[in-house]
Amino acid sequence: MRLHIFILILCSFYGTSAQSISANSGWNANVSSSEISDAGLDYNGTYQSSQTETYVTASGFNIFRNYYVYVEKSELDWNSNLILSARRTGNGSGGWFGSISGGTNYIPLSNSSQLFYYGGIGFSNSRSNVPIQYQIEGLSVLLPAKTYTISVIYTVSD
Amino acid sequence: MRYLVVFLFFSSTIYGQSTVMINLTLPSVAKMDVEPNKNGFNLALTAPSEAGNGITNQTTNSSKWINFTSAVTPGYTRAISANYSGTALSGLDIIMEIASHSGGGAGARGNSVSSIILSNSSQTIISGIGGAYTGNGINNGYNLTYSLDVTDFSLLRNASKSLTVVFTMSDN
Repeated sequence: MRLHIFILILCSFYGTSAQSISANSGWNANVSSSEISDAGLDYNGTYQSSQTETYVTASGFNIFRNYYVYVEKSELDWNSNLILSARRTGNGSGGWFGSISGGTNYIPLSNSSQLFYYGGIGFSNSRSNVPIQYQIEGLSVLLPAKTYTISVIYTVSD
Repeated sequence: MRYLVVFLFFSSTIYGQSTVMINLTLPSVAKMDVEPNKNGFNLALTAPSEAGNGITNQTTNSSKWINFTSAVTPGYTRAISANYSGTALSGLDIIMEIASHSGGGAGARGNSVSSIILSNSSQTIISGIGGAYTGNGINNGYNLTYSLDVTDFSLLRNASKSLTVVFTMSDN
C-alpha cells in the first residue's frame, strides 16, 4: 500500500513576522564654550543629551512574542577618545501583559551589536516610544574643534 | 490508499533596523585670564643712599600668572601678546619676563619669549598655542615678572604714573 504523504508548509500566524524598528531622531550636540567655567580648565569631560532625545518603536510583532532591541555604533568621523553611551530612561508603551527590561544604565556602544533592552510584547504588536538618552565622555579642548559624527544603529528581533 | 498529512510549521524572522545620526560639535575656545586677580601693583625706584651712586634698588613683581584654555580648529594655533596703554615713562623701561609654562594642564601650551620691553605696541609673548589648558590659579600657566630699567637717568622725575597692561589672545 502506498503511503501518500502530503506536506503542508504553513506559515503560522504565530510564526511568521516582519519586525520593524524606528528611531525618530538623532542628537545634535552643540557644546558651548561656557561649559568651561574658567580659563585654565578643561571641559568636565561628560556631555549628556535630554532624557528623551530619541524615541524607539519596535513593531510588527505577533501577540505575546518576545522582542529584543540591539544597539551598535558606526563611526563616520569620530575620535577614539570620545565614548558614546546610551540608556533607556522610560518604558514607552505596550500592550496588556507586555514588559520591558534592561538598558536603564548607560552602556558604552561598540562596533558590534549588543543587547540593549528586551521584553514580552504582550497583547499588542509593538513596544512604542521608548525614550533614549545619550552620553558622550572624553570631551576635551585637546581634541580639534570640529564636528564629529557617529551613527547609532538599532536592530530588533524576536 | 492511505494518506499521511504532515504539517510543518516554521517560524521566520525579518529583522528591522533603524539608524540615527549623532553630531558632536566642539567649538573653538579662547579663554584667558590673569591670576590671582587683576589688581594693580607698584613698581618703585628707591633713591641711592650714597651720593654719586645710581639707582640700584628697585622692586619687582612676580605675582601674576597667565592662565588660558584653548581649543583650535585643525591646523591652527594661537598666540598671546602684550602691550600697555597709557603714557610712556620718561627714562624708564618696563620689563616683562615670561617664564616657561609650569603647573598643571595639558596639551600644546606654546612657548614663551624670555622677556620683552613693554610698549604701546603689541608684542607676542607666547606662541604656538594649540588645544591646551594650563590649569587654573597661581602656579599654573606662565608666570610674569615685572621690573623697571633706567634707560636715561637725566629724564627721571619724582613722579608716579599708572599704566594698564593689556593681554590679547588671537588666532594665527
